[in-house]
Amino acid sequence: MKRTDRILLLLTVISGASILAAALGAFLLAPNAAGLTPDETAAQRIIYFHVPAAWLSMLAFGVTTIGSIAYLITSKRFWDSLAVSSAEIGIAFTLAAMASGSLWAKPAWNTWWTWDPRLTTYTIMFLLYVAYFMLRSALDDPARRARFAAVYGIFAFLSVPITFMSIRWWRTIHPILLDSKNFGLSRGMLPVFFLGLIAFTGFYFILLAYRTRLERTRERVDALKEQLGY
Amino acid sequence: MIYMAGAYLIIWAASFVFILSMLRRQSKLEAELKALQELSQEKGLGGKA
Repeated sequence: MKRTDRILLLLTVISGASILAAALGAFLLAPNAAGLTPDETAAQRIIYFHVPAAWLSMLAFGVTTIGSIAYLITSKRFWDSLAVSSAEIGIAFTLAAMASGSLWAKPAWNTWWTWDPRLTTYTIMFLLYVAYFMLRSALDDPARRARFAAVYGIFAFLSVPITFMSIRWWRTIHPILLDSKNFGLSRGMLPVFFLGLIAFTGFYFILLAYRTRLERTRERVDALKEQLGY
Repeated sequence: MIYMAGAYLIIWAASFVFILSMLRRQSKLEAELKALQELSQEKGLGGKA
């Protein structure tokens, strides 16, 4: 096993342990929210997974944008690999955030889904990044695919700040956790919340390392195939 | 608590499926890379990419 692989494995174990600690904190240490029904109180704890998943989806799409801009400037394949890897992780976390949000919505809003501005813009963002992969799969030439995807990736990112701001700009039933005046969690909830946020962010970077390595291997395979005339 | 456990399970299941799919794709690509390198060496192309 190479040294970099050993380091990655060690970081993976640390990341797994920190996520487990965050989960235990959310289950056992975080205080109950005040003024809610028993069902809502239990469901409210979803916040410790739902918010990090939503944050990571936006972070991942932000990294895709950075990779896309860097590719257009440098034309180095690494940046395209980073962009596509991060977009795929972003899609996975978007689905996780949507599913966990839906589980919270049932006891809180009495429905699994509603076309609230946040949910609508989040769905549009998800579909835009699904289209990112459709665009990539439609182009055979690697350089052309990377260039077109980079331009599209930059435009698709416009949906991220709109999604983030949707609950502040439009009338919505989605809770606003962070506004200009205060943070919508009690002091007792904050350590567990930030532990989850940090643990999940670390997990994202581990996934990104694995996914980028996969993309680099794919590039080597493609280069060899081209060399051999396949 | 069932909702909390549900959310937790969904996120873990999504992560598990994603990691599993990455590992499967990685091993498939590595096998393909090895075969191509052998073929490349047979043809005298050096096998490096």
